[in-house]
Amino acid sequence: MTQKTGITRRGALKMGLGSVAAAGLMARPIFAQGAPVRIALAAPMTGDSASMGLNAQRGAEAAMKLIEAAGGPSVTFDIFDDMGQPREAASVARRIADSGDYDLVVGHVNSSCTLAAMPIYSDYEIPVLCGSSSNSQVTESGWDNIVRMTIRDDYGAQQYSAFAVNNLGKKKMAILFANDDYGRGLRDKMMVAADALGAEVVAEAGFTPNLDKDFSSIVSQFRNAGAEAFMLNCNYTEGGLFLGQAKSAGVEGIATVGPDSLLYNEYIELAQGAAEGSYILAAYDPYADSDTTQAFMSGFREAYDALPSQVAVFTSDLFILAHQLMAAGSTPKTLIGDIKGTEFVGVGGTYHWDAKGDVKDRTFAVITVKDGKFASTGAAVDETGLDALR
Amino acid sequence: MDYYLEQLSNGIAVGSIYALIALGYSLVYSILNLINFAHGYVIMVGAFVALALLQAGLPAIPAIFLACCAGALIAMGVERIAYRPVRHSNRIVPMISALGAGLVLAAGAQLIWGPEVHAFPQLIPRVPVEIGGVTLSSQSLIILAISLVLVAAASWFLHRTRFGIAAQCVCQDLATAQLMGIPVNLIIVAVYAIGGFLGVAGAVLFAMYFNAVFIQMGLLATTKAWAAAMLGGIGSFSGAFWGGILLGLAETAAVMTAGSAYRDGVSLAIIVLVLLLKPNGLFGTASAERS
Repeated sequence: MTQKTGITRRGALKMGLGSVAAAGLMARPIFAQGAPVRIALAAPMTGDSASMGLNAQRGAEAAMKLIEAAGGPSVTFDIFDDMGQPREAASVARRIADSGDYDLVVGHVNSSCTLAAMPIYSDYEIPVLCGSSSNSQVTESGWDNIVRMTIRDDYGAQQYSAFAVNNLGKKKMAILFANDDYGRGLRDKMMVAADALGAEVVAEAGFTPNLDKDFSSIVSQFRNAGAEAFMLNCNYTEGGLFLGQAKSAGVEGIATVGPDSLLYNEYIELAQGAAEGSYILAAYDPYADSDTTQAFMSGFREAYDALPSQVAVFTSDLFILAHQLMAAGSTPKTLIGDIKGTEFVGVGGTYHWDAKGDVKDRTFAVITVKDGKFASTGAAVDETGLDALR
Repeated sequence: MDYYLEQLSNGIAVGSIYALIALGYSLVYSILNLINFAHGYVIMVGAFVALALLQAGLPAIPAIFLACCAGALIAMGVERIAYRPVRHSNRIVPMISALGAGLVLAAGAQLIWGPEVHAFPQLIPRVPVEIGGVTLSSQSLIILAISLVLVAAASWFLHRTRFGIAAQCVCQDLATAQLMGIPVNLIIVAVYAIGGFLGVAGAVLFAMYFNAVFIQMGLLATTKAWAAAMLGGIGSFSGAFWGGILLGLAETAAVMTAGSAYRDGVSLAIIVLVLLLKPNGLFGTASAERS
């Protein structure tokens, strides 16, 4: 949490512009001499999504160890807290841009924050490597200084629906969604996808994220509507509570599908046994049969006694990606272009990017809960019927 | 039809929990005419204590009883530290110091237990019970029964025992009660302790019903208790009970019609309407306010 004190805003702005220009001119020789790569990590360290910020920080720390072992230019990073709030994210972006101290930004986490901060990074031509913001607008708004790791929501909503309908054979879906941009966006796209797949959304219920804890009347609504599949568009706390309360109301054994924001041990714990057999479609596979992934997982578990979330994995991969390319001669100006032209193998698997900055050819890993633990199923989503939407 | 009865049973269960939390809140108000902003935070800590004791392997009933006692002790501590020194100041002062005490409790609890939501074990079996052709959940009925018994007991205690009558004297006039030989400090501490004890019982039911214990429960419980107490008529025990039940039903109705995201908006709108028509609440008496 870097903060400049004792410098006027205008002074800082001038210095910032000066050093951006200098970095542009002199970047190549500096890196050849091994000057450090300076990263601004923007994430919600406090507030309701603080656990994601913590995961971003841990992912960055894990990456730093791997980077040290790999050699090449050193990496330094400072954390900027956007509190998960767009207003704060814009102010963080302004501070990062004004300071001129950073070669690139890794972040933000919440889509609404990335969307609020991007115009500023774009003006200053700071490369932004985004991990977890899944809103389609992040790469659809015409910014050419961003790439991201996660799979877009519009594609995700289709995949979750196709899994419920085609793989599990459920035609009556009930959608539980967080009543914010993320949850409502997913719900809208899921309704379109359900239509294309010949399924029906029989019930939908929004809740206020981080506030509502009583899902008993929603459970009754879903049961009354004859739901065959619960589609959870929310994070692990609400997802777990919902399933736990459904179980205690006697609603059990309904197929459940959700995104990787459920992939936390707390989800299983809060569901009190009801998460068993539910499916999570994750943008990375924590149980992939790869040495890199397994080494990262076990190292992370040892250090923090927790399953690394998607945010941790993507943050770590982005740090390593930036380090690799900068070591090979990329500059802040060329970084985004170089990333789009490269293929990168990280903890989260293999990534390629398209011209907009979205990942190409990545599919969801289907994870289930078995004997109270997450386990990979190795299944692939059956995409029959999704062609109409493309 | 079954669907509406099921929702009715949901509403009554939530309402009974609110009623129990509101009871402890109303108790302090009826004796001291003081809005106890720390109440929700005290009972949140109590619920965490219950969880810790259960995790340590204690059987359910002693664990909950001890947690209720812990709630009583914390409430007594809050009284000693945050209220007594400012008891004779302007009414706004103890209100602010109560809020401060609540925030300190919340920060302390967050340091110990962290900001995450914790799961709470299900101690009351939840099976369908049929009464006269209507199927209700056993958990709702048990929660309602516990709440009714505690409300009746508290009411009896305050209206029929020597202690209760002394407490009412303190309520009528603190200085005169003291001159008449009533141990005012003891009575006030005891009122806080009973409020904390009952509140933790409500908080444990809350944790069990929602399967969750979390820090923000403090603020949530305070606002719900306040709303329920206002709705029923603040200071009245049967008012707190009915206020809680009505609030629970209003929330369930809001979820059914407008959606869960509008729960508080719709239910609080109902309360505002009721208070516009009956400013002292449904069961309050017009002379409840002391200047």
